[in-house]
Amino acid sequence: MTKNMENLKKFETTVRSRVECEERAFHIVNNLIDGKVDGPYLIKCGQMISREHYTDVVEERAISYLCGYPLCDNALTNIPKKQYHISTSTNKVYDISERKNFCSNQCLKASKHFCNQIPESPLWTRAKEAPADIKLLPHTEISGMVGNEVVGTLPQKLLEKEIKKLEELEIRSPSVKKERQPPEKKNIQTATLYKTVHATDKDVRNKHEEIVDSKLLKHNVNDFKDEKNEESLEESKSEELVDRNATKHSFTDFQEGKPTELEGTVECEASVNKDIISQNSNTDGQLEEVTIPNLKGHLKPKQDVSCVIYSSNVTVNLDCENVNKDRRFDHGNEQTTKIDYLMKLLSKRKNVLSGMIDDITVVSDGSSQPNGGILPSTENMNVISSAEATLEQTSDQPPPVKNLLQANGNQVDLNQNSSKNSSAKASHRNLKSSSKKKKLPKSPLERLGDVIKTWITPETTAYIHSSTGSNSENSMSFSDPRIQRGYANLCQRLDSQQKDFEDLIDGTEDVADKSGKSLKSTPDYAALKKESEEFQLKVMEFITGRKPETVQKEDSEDTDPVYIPTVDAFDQQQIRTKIVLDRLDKFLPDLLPPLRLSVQDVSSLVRELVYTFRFEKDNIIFKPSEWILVAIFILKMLGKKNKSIAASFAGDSAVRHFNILFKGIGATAADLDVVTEDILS
Amino acid sequence: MDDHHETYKLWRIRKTVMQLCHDRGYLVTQEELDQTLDGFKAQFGDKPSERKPGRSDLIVLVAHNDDPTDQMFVFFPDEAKVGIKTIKTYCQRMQEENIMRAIIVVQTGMTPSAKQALVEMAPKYILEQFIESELLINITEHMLVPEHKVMTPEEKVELLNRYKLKESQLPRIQQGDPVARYFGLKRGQVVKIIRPSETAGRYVSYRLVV
Repeated sequence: MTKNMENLKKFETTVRSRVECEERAFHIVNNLIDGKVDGPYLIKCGQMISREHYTDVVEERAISYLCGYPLCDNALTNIPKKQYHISTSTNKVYDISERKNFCSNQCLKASKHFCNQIPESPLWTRAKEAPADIKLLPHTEISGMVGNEVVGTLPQKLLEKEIKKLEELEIRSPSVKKERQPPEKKNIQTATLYKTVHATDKDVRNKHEEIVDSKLLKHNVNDFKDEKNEESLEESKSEELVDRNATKHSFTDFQEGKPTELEGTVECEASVNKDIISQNSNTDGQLEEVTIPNLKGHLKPKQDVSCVIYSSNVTVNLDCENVNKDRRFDHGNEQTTKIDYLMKLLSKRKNVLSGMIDDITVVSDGSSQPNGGILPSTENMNVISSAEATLEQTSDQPPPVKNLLQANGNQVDLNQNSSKNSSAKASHRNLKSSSKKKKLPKSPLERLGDVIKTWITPETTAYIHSSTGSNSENSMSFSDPRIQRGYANLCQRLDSQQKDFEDLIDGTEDVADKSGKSLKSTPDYAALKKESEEFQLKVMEFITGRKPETVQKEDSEDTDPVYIPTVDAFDQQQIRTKIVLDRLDKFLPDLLPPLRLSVQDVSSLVRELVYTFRFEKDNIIFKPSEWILVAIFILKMLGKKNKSIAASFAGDSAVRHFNILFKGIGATAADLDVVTEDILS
Repeated sequence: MDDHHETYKLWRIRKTVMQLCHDRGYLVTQEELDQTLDGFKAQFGDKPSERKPGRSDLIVLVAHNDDPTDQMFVFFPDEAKVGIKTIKTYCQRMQEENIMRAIIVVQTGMTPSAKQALVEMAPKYILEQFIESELLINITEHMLVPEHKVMTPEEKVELLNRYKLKESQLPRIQQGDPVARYFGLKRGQVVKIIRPSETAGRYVSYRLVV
């Protein structure tokens, strides 16, 4: 019983002590609310209240239009009504609901600094703990903050993250990146650095803005009004100077176009700031200890501070210079790597070009010369433009080659034209260019002969060996008489049925028996009957749901194969023939004058011959010079059929012309004959 | 917020406050209970933004029907958030006029320490706080709120005797219940709640404030 009572008493005392603690805290809050207190008392109070109490104090003070920081007794005026402050200089949104409780950013920062040092443990356990070491932020602290940054408006942070990611990627695949796209990499780097520089500049500006702002509002009247105010102002000014210097340096660096290691400068700038701050705090501490600073003692620290600032300024400059030098070195390195890269590109391009040249079998010194010429010029070019230039050049490379090709063709043409005039010089040139052509293992004549051989069909041979008179008949000749008959029938029917396409389709079924009859445009009775029957069948099918057993019979299942004429627009053979004829039309006129033939003489014959050929998709593609040879072959073949053409080949001018021509490709007229014979055999 | 809206709000609040005082048994004239918006404007003005009326002009002092010495203040502080200082000034005034009860109608709220101050003064001075938005309508007139009748100490004793109950055997209602706050109930009081019932016509229950 007594024990129980004792326990109760113990419990009661503990509870009472707790309540006492709370009450004491409440009274402290009451005391802190009124007016200004001094630093040591606030520190003592900090041991006996919780953070909630302190925030309450701030709030209470603000309600009574006092600055929330207990060491400050400025009245709050011009309290903004808005909850957020949008800083246009930093592109950030701040929640200023907290800031509204204070007279200045400095007070807000100092208050937060103090609040964060108040122990979090419950009040009644504080007695057993060692008192927390609370330090007040010196009041000359220059920069404060507007408020909590609102989450979600941090584009800069996001950008930084992205940049980091990119950098990681770079690290992971450094070799690939270096080899493949150094210019882009550099761009990224410049971008990041630009951003950082921008950011620092903005920060600094923001600081300045804030300072100016608070000055304007006359809110930064601090505690040690008479003496310290001056000093702090001066300090702030000089610090501003330092900031500006640093940023200027970084900016000039950037403008010089050496965008590496700028962060270094920024960092050093930050460290300088820190140094100054610590110095400030030191001097502040001194001043606080010497509670009544006389004029001399006051002057001394001032000088110190200025000294420190001066020296730090110098160090900043030095650092900047160092960085500059480093940068230059880096820049040089990068340039060398860039040149390497360009060289690689060039060599690659050279390889490609040489391959192309092999193909055309023309070695052009002109194309390689500009290639080589690029090298020295790129060295002088600056980074980006050079990269672009190389790109352009690579894309520009094909056209010259093409030009060469065309020129070559033109040359051949020219030679042919000039050979008529038997210009020795031209022939000489022709000789030269075509002698180079003759490096192929197989002579072009033979090659072409092989190709043309694939065209040959039985009809061709039939056509060539047939008599001269019956051209048109023979062009349509088919080897199988049955097919011929069927085709004739079909043609007849087509003539009569041209009007109605559907009728044509119906009619094709009974080509054999109804071939002679012309179908009427109106359907006859039988057809209608059949149709209705069919329809009925379908209905039955639908109703019964099953297929009727009586399937309609195909009444006209003829044994003969059906021949349908090709539709010209879609027939590959027709299209190919057209292509070949087109090409021949282009090159034949050049050949005819030396043969003393006119276009009218040969065109119909050539047409008929070509119609007998069978072309494939891959054997009708020739180079212009080859087309000339093809035309010659065709004329030769026609010569087998038409004696007049053969005779013209034996003509004086023809012989001379072809001799010159064939000399160019290292062949003779006899070779031509041999190959032609080979084709037709 | 425009003046018209603000005036309307103040009129509603004051009306509800008057009804509250009436329901608690304080003497409120019928004229005051039936005051229209136009009447309110005529009495106090219609420009709250120019302090016509200021909130502090709305202050109400009512006396109890049975005991004219039992008076109650209704304060309307001007500050959006009420701190200790305001509470202290009100306390001083109450002390001067020897009034024990008061209601504080705050705009947005009170600081924690102000609330604590109210609690500390509790035994001697009874201060209740309402937020303006709570008083825009009279909750006891709502169709879902049954009729509450505060029982006198004698009625409470009779009830307990009649049903041979102890206090703790009664159903309970919290002191923070909106209706309990409306009537300013204290711990130990009993309310008689009469609600309509489909089967019995009327269903009566009693609740002890805890």
